[in-house]
Amino acid sequence: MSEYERSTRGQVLTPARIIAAICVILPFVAVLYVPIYDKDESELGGFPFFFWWQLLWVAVTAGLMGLAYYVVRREELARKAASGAGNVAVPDAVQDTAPDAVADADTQNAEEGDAE
Amino acid sequence: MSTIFTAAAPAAPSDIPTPDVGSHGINQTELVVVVFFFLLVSVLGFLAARWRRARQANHLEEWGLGGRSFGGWITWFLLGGDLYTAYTFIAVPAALVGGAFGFFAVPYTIIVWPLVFLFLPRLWSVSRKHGYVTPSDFARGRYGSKGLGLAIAVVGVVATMPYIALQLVGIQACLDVIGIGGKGSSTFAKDLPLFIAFAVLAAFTYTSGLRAPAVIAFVKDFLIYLVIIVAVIYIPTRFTGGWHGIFHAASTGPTGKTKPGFLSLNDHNGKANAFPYATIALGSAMALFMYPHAQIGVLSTKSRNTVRKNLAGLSVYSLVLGLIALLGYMALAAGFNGTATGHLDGNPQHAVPALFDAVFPSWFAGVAFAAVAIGALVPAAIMSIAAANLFTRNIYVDFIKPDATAHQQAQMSKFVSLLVKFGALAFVLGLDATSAINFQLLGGVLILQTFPAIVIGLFKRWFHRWALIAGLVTGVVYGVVVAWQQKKLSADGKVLQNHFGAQIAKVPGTHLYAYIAITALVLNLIVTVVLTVVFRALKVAEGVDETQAHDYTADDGDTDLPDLVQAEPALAEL
Repeated sequence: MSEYERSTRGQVLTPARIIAAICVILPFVAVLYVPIYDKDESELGGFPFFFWWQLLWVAVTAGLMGLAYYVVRREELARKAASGAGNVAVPDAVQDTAPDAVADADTQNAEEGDAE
Repeated sequence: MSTIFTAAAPAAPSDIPTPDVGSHGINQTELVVVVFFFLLVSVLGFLAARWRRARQANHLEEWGLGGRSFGGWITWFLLGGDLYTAYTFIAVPAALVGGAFGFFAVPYTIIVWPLVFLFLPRLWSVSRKHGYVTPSDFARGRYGSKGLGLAIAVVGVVATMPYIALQLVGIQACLDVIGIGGKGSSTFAKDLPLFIAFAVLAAFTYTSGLRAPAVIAFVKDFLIYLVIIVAVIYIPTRFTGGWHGIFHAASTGPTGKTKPGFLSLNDHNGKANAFPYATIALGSAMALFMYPHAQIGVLSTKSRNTVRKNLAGLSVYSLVLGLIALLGYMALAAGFNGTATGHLDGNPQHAVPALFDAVFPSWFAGVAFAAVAIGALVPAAIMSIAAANLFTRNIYVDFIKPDATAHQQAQMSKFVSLLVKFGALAFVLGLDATSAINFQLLGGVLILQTFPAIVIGLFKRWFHRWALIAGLVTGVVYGVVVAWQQKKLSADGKVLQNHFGAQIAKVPGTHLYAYIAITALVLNLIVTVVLTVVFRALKVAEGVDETQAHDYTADDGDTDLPDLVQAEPALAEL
């Protein structure tokens, strides 16, 4: 295992990934926990609450996806730059524990378990 | 779920004539406009093959994946073509005719994007690295099991076929409203337009492959956006009270009382609707990118992050879908009641075409119908390519002719794409539209059962290959049996349909009602986990995983990627 790989190990929870995780999880909560919005009142622009809440979340989710991409991409580029120009191919970092699925948001860490 | 709407809306809240079907003869203007746009896209479809012509056109990656070269813009249009189809345009508003429950399409298309963000870049990377063309290719390589690849391919083809057939149902609903093919005309005259449409579709898919729908998608989306923007701005001005008036009129029953379940889900019929609503949204979202045609849109991109970068933009489709859904309420508010005065039976699927026919001048109604008809061609082409690729890669190459060259694979796929389309046509002409719809709903239940093998497989190879097959079969059998048992009841308790009447069923052993696909998936996962433990204890052979950890994060520009059939920088710029 190279110096570089050791240095990236354990950085599963970077700030960028936490932000991306929140961006990904929020829409699920907002539209799948139906009791939040299952009501007629209050109206907005003639739309009952039930309808405008969900349409609003289309726009909010678009923003969150944009933000998640931005932070993850920025971290990815920063890490690529830091690891030196020669390191184009992705390193074979092996993680013992499967981190949060969002960890995939990064291209530098492969989170295959060593079970196989 | 959906109760057939039988009551007429009260005193007219608008100046729109009552949307109806079959109340006039053939509307010549509408027909001419539709034919014009149809000819336009047919020409484009054939020209697509010449568009930045490939040096090796007869290669499966070229014909079936557009040479894995699509950039952000094309991908946006192509995925949009997958996401809403002609049938969406017809069926989503039709679902709203039955109440607010039909709005589940909106939360479904909201959460589909975070899901995509999570797993599709990994699928792209591993497919690019190993030259996988279909999701079954991945499952076969990951678990070293041709049997698993076959099982997923069969489920994929079975789920996709009725979806193609349904695109015809969308075209048919428009033709009905234009006035072609009522009781008066012969079967031949009635089906001829569909036959011509599909023959043209088959021909340009054969010659141009995935490039054809990619090009046509531009025209389709332009027309759809135009129609929807005009509809949501213009139609509310025709109602007293604008949007408020529309919601009010749509939710008011014949007795003047507000109908339950129209302004929000509310609970009625003793059923809690929140849980079914959440599960059907979640299940549909998880199922969408299990469909081979949706994955094609991802695999054809040129880099790992093309799709992720596009997600914010793709949300525009969800917004438009929400607005399309509300057309169902506009039709209700304008007095569409599913009972035609003319020669066609009442059918909520006519709600949107009938609304356009009533509210727009004929030429613009024609544009709207053209949008729906072209909206049918794009997904039908992608779906037939996807189904053909599945057959070629996971049945023909894996089991019949393992040494097939890339050229032979492409030829086989082209040929099968023809079979698939004519199979779908025969399906619609031979059976009725209701059967097509039932099978499509069932398709969603089936395709979701491939989730453990593909999505979980992208992160962890813990499951045993035989356990995955057993789980898949269990989920499929449970889903089919339970869906078959569902009766559809009218509001007064009469049985309208004996089988496949609902997508929501009671979860065994509980008081909850949930989307059948989700219940089946849970069962599938339980079987898979238990059998994995059992098989491992019995030391049943695991198969060889041909992928490696870093394959899942491979990106365009890595030095160890296989060469593509041909580089097309000009196309990638889009």
